[in-house]
Amino acid sequence: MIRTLVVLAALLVIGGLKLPVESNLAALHRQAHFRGVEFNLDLREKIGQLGFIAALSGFRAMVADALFIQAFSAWENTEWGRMLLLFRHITTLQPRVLLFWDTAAWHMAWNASVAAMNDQTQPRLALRVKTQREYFALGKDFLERGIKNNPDRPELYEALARLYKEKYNDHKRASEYYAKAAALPGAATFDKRFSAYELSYCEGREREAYERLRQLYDAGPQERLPTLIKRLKLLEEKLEIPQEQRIPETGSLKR
Amino acid sequence: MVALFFPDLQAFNLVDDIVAGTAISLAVFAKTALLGVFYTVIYTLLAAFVFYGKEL
Repeated sequence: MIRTLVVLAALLVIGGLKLPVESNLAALHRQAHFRGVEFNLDLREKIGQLGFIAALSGFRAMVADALFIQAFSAWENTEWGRMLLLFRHITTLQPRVLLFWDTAAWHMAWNASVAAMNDQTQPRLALRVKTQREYFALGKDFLERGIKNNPDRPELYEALARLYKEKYNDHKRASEYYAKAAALPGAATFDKRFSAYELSYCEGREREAYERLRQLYDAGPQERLPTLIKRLKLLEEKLEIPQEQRIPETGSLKR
Repeated sequence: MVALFFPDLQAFNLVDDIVAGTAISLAVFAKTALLGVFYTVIYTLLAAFVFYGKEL
């Protein structure tokens, strides 16, 4: 009895000592974006009891992968609603896997939106367009939440920029997100260039776009790609840049 | 109270993040390993103290 009491007292003292260390380590984990998943009733309802138990037992990645396979089957059967639900579960379970966010957004904004637009069962164009825009918004939502969970990775910024460019025709936002991607470590070399390209389509920001494109052009032959030269020449014409300051007509494509 | 008496084993559950490609820094690795050693030593000693001399 005395022993047990001594041990309990020792546990209390040790507990008091270890708590700051544990909370410090937990803070470090959060900083490194570990423990991104909250195991609560909401998740339990989403993934079902078995899935929840599996996830709680350290099989979170495996449950997410199994759901990803199910989502692929749902895609084969063009069950867009089911796919949306599955991808929500998958991204909840594995918020640090970029593939899941990117694929979810691609399915919603590209595949489901096109399917909605070509839906033969809906004769009214206005409703088809409305559904299409809802799928764009779902794709955007996946990417925005993905970025929130992975602010240090450039890939999702790129994907969001692509979505703004191709689906919303919003070149300003596309340029912003390409620039954000370019500022992150590990970004693709084309991000900076693409940001300038997109800016060159924005009305009223031609001067800024010209300066950025010119800066890239002056950075060296490796940046002098056909699209860059084409956009630069268009802007030179538009801004009436003096002839002597323009890039050469010939030989500009030389590397 | 539970946190006072029991070790936080979630600190060692990093496999899902590693699968996702998250790199573990040396500081996190060292602290987690030290915490593991600390738990092992303390709880083993306490268990030995409780059960020492008892017929099991």
